[in-house]
Amino acid sequence: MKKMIFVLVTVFSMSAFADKNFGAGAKFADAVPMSKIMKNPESYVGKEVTVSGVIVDVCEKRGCWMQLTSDYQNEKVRIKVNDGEIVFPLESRGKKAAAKGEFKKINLSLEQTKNYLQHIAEENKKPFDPASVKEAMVVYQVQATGAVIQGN
Amino acid sequence: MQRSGENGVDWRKKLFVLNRSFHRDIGYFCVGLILIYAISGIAVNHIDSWNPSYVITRSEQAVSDLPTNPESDEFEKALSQKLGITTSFRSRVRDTQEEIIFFYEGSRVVWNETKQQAYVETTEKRPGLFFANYLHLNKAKRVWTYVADVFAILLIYLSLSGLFMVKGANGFGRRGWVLVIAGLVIPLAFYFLYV
Repeated sequence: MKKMIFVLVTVFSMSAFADKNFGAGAKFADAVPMSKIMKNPESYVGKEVTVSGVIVDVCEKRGCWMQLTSDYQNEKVRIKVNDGEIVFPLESRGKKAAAKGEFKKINLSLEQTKNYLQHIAEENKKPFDPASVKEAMVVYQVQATGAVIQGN
Repeated sequence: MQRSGENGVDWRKKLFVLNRSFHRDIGYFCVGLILIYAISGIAVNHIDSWNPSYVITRSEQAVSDLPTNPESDEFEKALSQKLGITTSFRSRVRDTQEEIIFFYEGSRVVWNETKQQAYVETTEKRPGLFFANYLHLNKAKRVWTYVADVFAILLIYLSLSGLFMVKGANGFGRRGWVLVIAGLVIPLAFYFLYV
């Protein structure tokens, strides 16, 4: 009995330290630095890329997106998944992750840009003045089919 | 002729008893999962007005007498001590020119250098509900997908076998079918009104 408990405890402890795969999975080793992608983003649009970084934020209610740090001008990379297909755990913030998927370019109108920035400001509980936005934004994101989050 | 009639009655009686027994035992077996799915269903239904899986607490406080370099380990230790954070430190990220985010197990601290203020966000799993939603929304994937499929099949069986549980005035043939149709009218009405 004691042996069995020991084995179970060992297995559970090891699983807590193991990397957690989501969807098709991804490999840290395949990650392309964002600085490299952003040198010529157009050449990556529509192609499959793997990016990695520290998870800065996760969709609080549905786990349908996460933001990773990047090495490009302090910018964050948004990783989006189809609702329910992959659910990023909120408690994984601060851990390293890699995500694999199609690199997408989204051209926002001025109105969409204001809404987008307002939404981000609201989520981060920061003040936001829509009148301060004068130009439409281009957002790049990875539509992920797989991801891996580092264990404890 | 008389004999074959009796056999027919026997056969139907046996099936009736067997159906009741299966319905009863499968019903007992499914109680736990039905409750989990139903309670989680209510919780997730109202996702627009609350977070069904996590309790997120936010607070803001000014912190003074900290080491000068916010990107040092010394600073992180002093900050967590002042904020009363006892969980393990994970990582730190420079978010903007004036903000650094510190990540701990179960909490996140956004440190504003200019304001010398910490914005603390703690995240706790809702007891019971987190697990119920985890199963209901099939976040576990893999084997749970098949467990949930089997459960759904059992629910289909329970709903259909339930139609033949009672005989007589309260049976399906006399009164039950009216209630079954009343139950079907609700989703159909919504379909024609909204879809």
